Amino acid sequence: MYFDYLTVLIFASVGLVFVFANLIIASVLRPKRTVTEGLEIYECGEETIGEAWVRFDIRYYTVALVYVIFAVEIAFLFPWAIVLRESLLGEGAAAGLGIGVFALVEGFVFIAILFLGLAYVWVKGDLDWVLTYSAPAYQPPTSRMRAIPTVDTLEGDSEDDSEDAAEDTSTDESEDAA
Amino acid sequence: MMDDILPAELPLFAVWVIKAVVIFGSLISAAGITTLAERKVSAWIQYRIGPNRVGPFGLLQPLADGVKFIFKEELVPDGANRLMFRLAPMITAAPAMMCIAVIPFAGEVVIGNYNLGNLSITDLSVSVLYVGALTGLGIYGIILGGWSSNSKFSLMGAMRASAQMVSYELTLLLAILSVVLLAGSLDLRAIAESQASSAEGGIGVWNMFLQPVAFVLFIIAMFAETNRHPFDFAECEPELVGGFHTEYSSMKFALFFLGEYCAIIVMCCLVTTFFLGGYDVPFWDSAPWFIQLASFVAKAACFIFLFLWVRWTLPRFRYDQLMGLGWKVMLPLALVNVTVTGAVVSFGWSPLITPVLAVAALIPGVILFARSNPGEASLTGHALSEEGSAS
Repeated sequence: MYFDYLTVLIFASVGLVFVFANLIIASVLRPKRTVTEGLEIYECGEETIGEAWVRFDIRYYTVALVYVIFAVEIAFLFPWAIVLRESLLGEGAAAGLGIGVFALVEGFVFIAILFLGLAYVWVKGDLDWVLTYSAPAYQPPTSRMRAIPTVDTLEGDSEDDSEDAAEDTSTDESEDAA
Repeated sequence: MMDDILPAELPLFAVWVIKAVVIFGSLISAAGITTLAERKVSAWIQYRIGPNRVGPFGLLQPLADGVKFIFKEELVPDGANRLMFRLAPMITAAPAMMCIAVIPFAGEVVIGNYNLGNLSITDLSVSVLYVGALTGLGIYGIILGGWSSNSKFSLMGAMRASAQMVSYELTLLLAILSVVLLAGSLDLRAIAESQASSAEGGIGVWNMFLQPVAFVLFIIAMFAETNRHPFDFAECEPELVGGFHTEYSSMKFALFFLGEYCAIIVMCCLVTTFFLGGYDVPFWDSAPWFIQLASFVAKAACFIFLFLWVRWTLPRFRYDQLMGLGWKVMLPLALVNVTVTGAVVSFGWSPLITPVLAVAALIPGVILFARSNPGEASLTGHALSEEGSAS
């Protein structure tokens, strides 16, 4: 049985020989210049600013986690698929459909639990590539905050003025917090 | 004459080495021919002639391309992670090539007095898992290549490619799983033979007809897995220059290229094995091995042509559409299909009703999906009504 893998190994070594032979032949034959311009990072003719190794929005973080869970699920489902089939042939069939239906229900429960997980992630919005950050709805100015002057307030009453004067300090605090 | 010189039976090791060299050589040649076919088909679709200078009909163009790659100057950009930069092309190319080792191309090969055994490198009992593991490994090379280049375009291309391949691999594996449920084996050769009419207990129908949902899902997922149009976000030219291989040149770029085409060929071989009966020749159970091989190659070539055809037919997706399609449409669809197939198999019903049940199970899901996206549903309705009024 392990001979099966030995043949794969032979195949892989043929591949390795091919790849390295090509790389070595190329390294012998190709021109070697030390032109500094060629070594610059390509950015459509613009000068590169900074490195590319910056903090990057890895949007698919959650997607990757869900992938791992589902990949493990599928890895478990492959043996299930084989057992389900075998329970119908040979000894399993002689014993009746019992194990087949049992295995089927077990498999369904397993899939359903993970499907619930997918549904949860879906409803949470983690599967949406374009994230919509819903800002909290606009609150009318309370006594703690300075009223943002809108058209209505500028046109109309001046009764807020006294409040404004009183709330200056708290406004500063809220700005700091923001 | 020959009988005197050659031994009556070839040693096992010699058979292995011959097979490895022949199949590897065929794979590399096929990849080269595919690059030529890509340019030729592109040319025909665009009403051009295409490469026709090197050799008859431009047939030697892949060789000329290879020689050009060898003579190109190699650049490692400033500030790149040199080790990873050099490793990445090999990590990309190797898994794609290794996958071909378990593909059953034909039955027993008999040349003269010599029986070389089945025409494949090996018949693992778990070859489906082997293929799944190796297609998963292909992501590493791309993300390492993109990250180590220290270029922003490369990084973005690599990030896109990895998210996309991860998302569609699930669908790919689930589509395979429903085929495995029908065949009851993880061995690719057994799966292929279960679709042949000569198989014991088999009914001689290709899985394409028994599992149309899985078939369509597999085809869409294989386009995404190989980063081909309409899902080629990893190297989307108008947005990312060259994507993850922007900074690569010379032989290293050639390796990325080779890996990509090998992956395409492997995917075409897989879809042939899983859904088109592999080397099965319709209505001819005891076909000789070279007819079987020709049948396999013809089927796989049709899918390679499909790859090239789709490239010039469908526009590129938008990235959020891609992720939405993968996670919200194809993954639930594949899960439903697996469930239905499992029920059909365990109750011992005829596999022929699987497509009917799968579609029936899908209808509530589609209605739910349409309701949950009122904007898209109304958009579809609008387009339909416009069509109606036009006619």
